[in-house]
Formats: sequence, structure tokens, C-alpha cells
Amino acid sequence: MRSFIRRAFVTLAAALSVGMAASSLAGVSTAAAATTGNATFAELVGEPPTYFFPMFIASNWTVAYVPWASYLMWPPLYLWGKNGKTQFNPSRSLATPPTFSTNSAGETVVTITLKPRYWSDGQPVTTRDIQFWMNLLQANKTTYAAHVPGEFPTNVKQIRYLSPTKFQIVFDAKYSSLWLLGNVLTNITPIPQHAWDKTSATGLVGNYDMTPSGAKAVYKFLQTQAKQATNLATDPLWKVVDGPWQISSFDSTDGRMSFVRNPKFPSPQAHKHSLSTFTELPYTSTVAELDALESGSLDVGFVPLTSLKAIPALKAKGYKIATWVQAAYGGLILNYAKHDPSTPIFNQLYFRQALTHLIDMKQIVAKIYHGRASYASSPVPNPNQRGEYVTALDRKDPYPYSISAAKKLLTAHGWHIVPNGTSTCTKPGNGPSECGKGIKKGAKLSFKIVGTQSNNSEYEILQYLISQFSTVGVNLKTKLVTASGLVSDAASCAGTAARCSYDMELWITGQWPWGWPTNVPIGTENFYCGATSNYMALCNSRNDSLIKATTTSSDPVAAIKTWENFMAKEQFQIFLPVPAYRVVAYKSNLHGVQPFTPYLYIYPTQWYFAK
Amino acid sequence: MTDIVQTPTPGGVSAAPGATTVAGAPLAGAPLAGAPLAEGGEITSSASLLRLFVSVFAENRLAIVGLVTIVLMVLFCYLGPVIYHTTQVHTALLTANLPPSNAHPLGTTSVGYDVLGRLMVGGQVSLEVGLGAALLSSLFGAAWGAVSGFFGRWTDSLMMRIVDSIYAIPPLLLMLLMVTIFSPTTFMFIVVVAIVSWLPTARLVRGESLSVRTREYVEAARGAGVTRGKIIVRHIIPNVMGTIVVQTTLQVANAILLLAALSYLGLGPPPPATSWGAMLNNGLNFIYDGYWWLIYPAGFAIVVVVLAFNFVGDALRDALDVRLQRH
Repeated sequence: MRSFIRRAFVTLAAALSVGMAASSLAGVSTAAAATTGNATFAELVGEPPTYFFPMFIASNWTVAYVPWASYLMWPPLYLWGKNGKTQFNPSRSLATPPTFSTNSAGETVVTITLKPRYWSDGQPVTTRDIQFWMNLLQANKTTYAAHVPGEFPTNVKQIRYLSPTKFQIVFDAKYSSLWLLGNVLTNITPIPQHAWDKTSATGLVGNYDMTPSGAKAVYKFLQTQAKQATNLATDPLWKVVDGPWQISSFDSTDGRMSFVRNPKFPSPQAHKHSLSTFTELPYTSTVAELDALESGSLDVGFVPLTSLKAIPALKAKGYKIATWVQAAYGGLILNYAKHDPSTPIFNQLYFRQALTHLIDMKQIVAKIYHGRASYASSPVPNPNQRGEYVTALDRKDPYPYSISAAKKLLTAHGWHIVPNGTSTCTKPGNGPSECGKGIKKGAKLSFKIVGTQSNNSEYEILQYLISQFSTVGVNLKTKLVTASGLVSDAASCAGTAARCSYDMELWITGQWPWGWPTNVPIGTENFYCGATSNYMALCNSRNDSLIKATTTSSDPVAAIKTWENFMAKEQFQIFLPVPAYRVVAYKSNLHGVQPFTPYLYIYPTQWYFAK
Repeated sequence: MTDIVQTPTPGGVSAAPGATTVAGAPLAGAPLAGAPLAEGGEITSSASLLRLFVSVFAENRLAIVGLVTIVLMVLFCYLGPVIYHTTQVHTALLTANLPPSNAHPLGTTSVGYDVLGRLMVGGQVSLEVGLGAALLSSLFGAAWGAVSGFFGRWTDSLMMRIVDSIYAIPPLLLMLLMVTIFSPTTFMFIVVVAIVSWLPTARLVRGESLSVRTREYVEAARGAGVTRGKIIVRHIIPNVMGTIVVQTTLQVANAILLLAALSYLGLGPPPPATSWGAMLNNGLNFIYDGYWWLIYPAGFAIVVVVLAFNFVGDALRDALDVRLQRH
């Protein structure tokens, strides 16, 4: 009897919470009543979307389609990027700002309250949907693209679901609130338990996620369905969304996709003429996309850096031009796979310094990016966007362009330099004037590099690096792959890979944008030993401890700067200038497009056509 | 035991005692023989065969233009760099995208390479892959088709179904797959292009072989106990050589275009090497900037060489195929 009363009380409390949530929503106008028109938006050239499932696996996700597709349908709890800046955006988040406290054991406790939201089928978004996502992640964490050993969700000690709208996470130690809000809680994405918790298309919905084996089965089923691109718009699973848009059509042959408004999504900021549909169009080349802009058939598209002279003509046709700056970094990835013959060479700081000396960043910015790029010597790339984290060392190039300095470094460490040929080690050994540990006599500075011609700027930089490195006898043997080939090659060498099919990979425009899920430049996902997206297979204890400090320090900004300086000095990856994400052309009668978020999010709910 | 070799003539003669010779010493006209011909006709000596062939070929002015163009392009690509020195390894960003001038007659690329010099280097790759792939594909295709046609029955069915199956795969898809798997070298490109190019040759040769295998001289060779392998090598293939030669010439043009397509998709020879297709692909990025010198020279070179090989191929077909001769 007592348990019955308790259950009844809990049920009543839940119903009241949902009711209150619904009543608070009642004052917010829904968008459906006042929407009109369709806007078209260009997808990535040659990279159509194929996968939207909001628990991204390393081999399938494409950076841009997280915000351009998944987040339109299933946004995460917390979003960053406000007024074009890299700041937390509480108004666009699904939950109110979290409260942080420390329990008696010295562990961080985060309390989160959901805002009133509804799934497109009318069911409320509750903490059960959070629990569902967490259960799937816990049971399948190693395949998650943002997985870092020992970190989220491993560092979650306990989750208490206090009510349908409130839950509490107890972490296993004291962590920095900046890291938690910027990079950890941003992972959590409510997904509809009442519709997705099943193990087959014809099976009934249950509570399978409550056991690890059940969670694995559900995850396997959902991932299988998610990879069937032909069904993305027709599978009833994907029709249940809590984001502002619902997919209405998807052409798996070319990636064209359309969305309609989710009538249950509250849009307090919606303009009376805001869009009722939104279409993303695929293009096979930048020229084809530019043609579409020229013809006026595309509302929002991108002007490649090689065609900036087209801008006056586009302006004359009624387009506005803007630069979309992205918080990102990229460069020349060196592979540190344990058993690769190149690894002992890459392990030498003097060698990495020499490579950095060979790169004239000013010339790259001026001539290849036509001034639309910023220098970078660490993973914190953009002084304009990242002013709060950039250090004095990062503002100046720690290893300025000097071929003679590069030659000097190599010669001083026992290498016989053969310009335009292949330099060899003549003094093996660990001494200060010798080649270094593990490098044998006669070892050659000849490496296999993977690059792409899909992006003209990257191709130009590839040619530039081959040319520059050859001046000191660093011979690069190139393999060209498609843009998606870069991702799959990198994924195959990530984490703790013992061997890798290449030595270097040039990946500039999208190696890792800060944004999903890491909004604060803390290198856990990409530089921490064993991380799924650590594409260099880098394992450096000092680096790991500095990264760890950024996640636990009570002064996380100072810790970030310390790590940043370390990275700038070490150059584990040869950081290269980061270009503007895109030069955007959008119809002048389409309002609400700007400001662009540095995390690549788009908010077509606030777009509208007006004179 | 001696092998009897029949020497068909462009005039359409077969089984003529005067044209029979001992295997291993084919007549001069033998390699130029065309398709199996109708019974009966005028007997012509091998010397006159060659004269006839040359005369028919020379009458085709487009063929002469094509031949001269090919020779000039080969000289341009291989002799040109010896006379006109440029660096095609070291970039020069400060002199990027310069229009044609005295210093750079065809301007510079987006990383400062001299376009004229690059056209020469790119041409080497294009011609090598074109010729290499054409030869390799013709060799393999001819052998496949000859064996298939000669043996007939289930062997023919099996071998032709394999051809049909490979035909069903889009060649570009197959090439993309192979280019992704294997390391990109000129030899690899030759092999990759040849793999998707041998099918038409196999089909054509197989068709010819089906006819040739019923000829009296083949029957005679069989009756004399000549092995099947030797019959294929010494009787079937020489008698379909005309088809093979024509097909090879046309395949050169096709292979150059296939390499251009691969390069256009960004999977051509890796930098600093290039091909005309890669140059064209890169140039198209600047179409809105008006850098015509990055587009027209490479496009012109591809068109001219492909046309030249097609002209020569057409003329060879005229010269070797009795049905198209006016004599």
C-alpha cells in the first residue's frame, strides 16, 4: 500500500511537472501558424550528407552535417555560439544553465533542468529521453566519435533523474565548470525513448535500454537504420524530432534534402514571414554552385576563394557577401603509430621544428587564402575569435619561416642534407648532435603523405609543402584521396593504432572545428592518448597531463594557455593557417542569416524573406 | 612439321598457293592484314600490300595531320623541357596566377608553376599512360578475345560473360576504387586504365576469331596436328591484327581521356607531377577569375592529341579494311 502511494505520488509529480512545462509553453507562439516560403542552402561540394544519427560514430559523421542536419532535428542540451562569438548561448539551449556544486566527497555535481519542449508527435521531452541517450552511450561508448578514455561518460559516477524535467550528474572528481559546460554537457542529446527504444523495425517499444545488452541491441538497430540513406526521410523513426525541423525528403543519390517546420517547436523569435520549408542542395563542384548563385536559384551559397572576382557580379544580382569565420584548426598531421618506421623521426622535436621553419605562414595567408585566414601555431587558432585564450607565444610564430634555420637544425642532428633529394641520417644515436632514439644510420627523410584535390586551397598547400620540404631533402610521396577518404584514412590511424598506411596527412579545412561537442579549446578529443578522434595516435604523457589539468583546474583559462603554449612549442602536428570557413553569398531579401556562428550552426527558423 | 600460314590480302584473297609461307617467317604484309575476307579475288604480293596500305593511308589528309600532330606533341613533351627550362617542383607563390608574358609565355599557375613547362611535363604523363594503357589493354583484350573465339562453346560463353560482367561496372567507379587502393604511379595508372579498356578489344577480336577459326588454313593447321596455342598465336591473332591495330590507336585517345577524367576528379597523378586533365581541373577553379591560361592550353592539348589519334585510327581502319577501300 505504501509503495502504491509512493508510486502514485511520483506519477502525480511527473504529471504536474509536464503540465507546468506545457502551460509555460502555452505562452510561446508556435512557428507553424505564421510560416511561409522556402529557402535553399548549399551543402558541402562533393560531400552529400548520408548520416544524421545524433550519436555520431567516428567513421560516419561529417563535421558540417552535425549542425546542418542532426541539430536541426535533434539539438543537444546546450549550444554555444552567440551573436557570432564563441560564447555559451543559453537561449538556444534545451535546458536552463546548469548549476554546479561540490559534494562532500569533493566531486562535482551538476543539476540540469529541461526547458518545456515537445516531440513532434506531441509527447513531452523528459529526462527519460536523456536517460535513454545516456544508456545507449554507456553501452556503446567506444564507437562514439567524441569518446575519450576515462572521460565522458566514464567519469560519470551517478545520474539521478529527479523528475521528468530535472536530473543531476555526479562526476567522479572535481572538474572545471567551463570544461563541463563547453565540452561535456554539449554531448548530451535528448532522443525519443518512446519511439526509438526498440530492437527491430516491427518490434514494440519497451525499456530495452535499461540493461547494457538491451542498450547494445537498440543501438545496433538504430545505427543500422541510420546508415540506410534511402530511408532517411521515410523511416518513421526519424520523423520524431524535438528540433525546429523535420526531414520531409531525402535523395540518397545526390544528398538533396528538405525539411518542414516541426509545429511543436516553440519559436518565440520567429518572424511573421519565417520559412515553412528549408532545402539543402548538393553540388558536385564549386563551379556548379557558383553557376547556381549566378542564376539566382540558390538562396545561400558559398563563393570559393578561387573565384572572388565573381563577387561584384553576385552583388549586382542581389546577393550580399559575408565571411563566415570558423573556430577551428588544421594542419599537417604526423602519425605516431607505435610501429611505423617514421615515428622515431617524428618523435624528435628538432625535426618538427625544422618542418615548421619551412612554412611561410604570411605567404600562405596572402597568396593562397587571399587574406581570408588567420595564423595558427597551436590548436587555438584565431586571435579574433579566441581572444580570451590566445597567448603571447601563439600571437607570434614560434618558429618563423627560415629555410637556413631548418637546415641548421637537421645538420646539427646528424642528417646529411640532399636538397631536392632525400636526406639521410649519418649519425645515429641519442646524443645531442645525433639523429635521435630509434633512428638508424641511413634512415631517410622520405614520407608518404595523404592529401586531397577536392579543395583547391588544400591542394595548393600540398604542392607548397612538397616544394618547401624538398629544399632540405624531406621527400614527400603523395597519395590523393577524396575529401571523405581523408576522414576514413584518419579514422583508421586514430586512437592507439600500432600501424598506419601513411606518415602524414594534410587536413586543413575541417580536421576538427571547435563546436561539436568541444566548444572550448581543450584537446581531449583530438590530442589525448587513445581518444577515438586522436588522428595522430599521439601518446605524450606531458601533453596528457596538461590536457587533464584543463579539465580539472579551478582556473581553466590559465590551464588552457599553458597547454596551448606547450602545443605551440612542441608542434606535434604542424599547425597551418586556418582559412575562413566560407565566403557566403545570400539573397539580400533573405533576412536573419547573419550573424554566422563560429561553430557552423545555422538557424533557418529565424530566416525570412522580406523586401 | 611446318605450320602453314595464310596471308590474306586487302583485296580479299584467301587460300592462294602463292601467298602461303612457312610459319615463323611471315610475309611483310601479314601484320597489316585486315579482317577475314570473302573467298576469291586478286592475288597481291606483300610488297604491293604495304604500298597499297601506305597509299590508302597517305590519301587521308586528316591522318597525315594527325600523325604529324602526334610527332610534334611527343617532341613538345619530351624535347621541350630540354630546351625550355622550368622548375615543376618548387612553387613560387609570389609569381602565382601571372598572365602570359615574355617570362612565362603561357602564364603561371596558382602556385607559380610555369604553365608552358607544366604542359610539357603533364603531357609526358598523359602520353605515357595513353600509349601504355592502349598497348596493355590491346594485348590482353586480343589474347582474351582470340582464345574465347577460337575455343568457342562453353569457354567462349564463360569468357564473354566475364566481359559482360565487367562491362556492367561503370568504368569510372572501377577506376576510382583501384586508384584509392593502389599507390599512384604512372605504371599504376597504365594498369588501371588498361583494366577498364580491354573489353571492347576482347569483343571485337572474339568476333573476328569466330570467323577466322573456320577458315581452311586453320582447318589445315589443325589437321596437320598444330597445337591450339600455336594456332591462336600464329594463325588467329595475325589474321585479326588489323582490328587490333586500329583498336589500339583509338584506345590511346580513350586512355588519355580516362586519365583526364580521373585527374578531373582529383585522383590523377599526385603533385608535383601532373597531367593535362589535372591541369584542366585546377584551371576550372579559376574560371570566374578569368585566368584563361589555366584552362585553354591544357584543354587544347587534350583535344588536339585525342583528335590526332582518332584521325590516325580512322585512317588505319580505312587502309586495313577492304570494305572501306576505294581500290
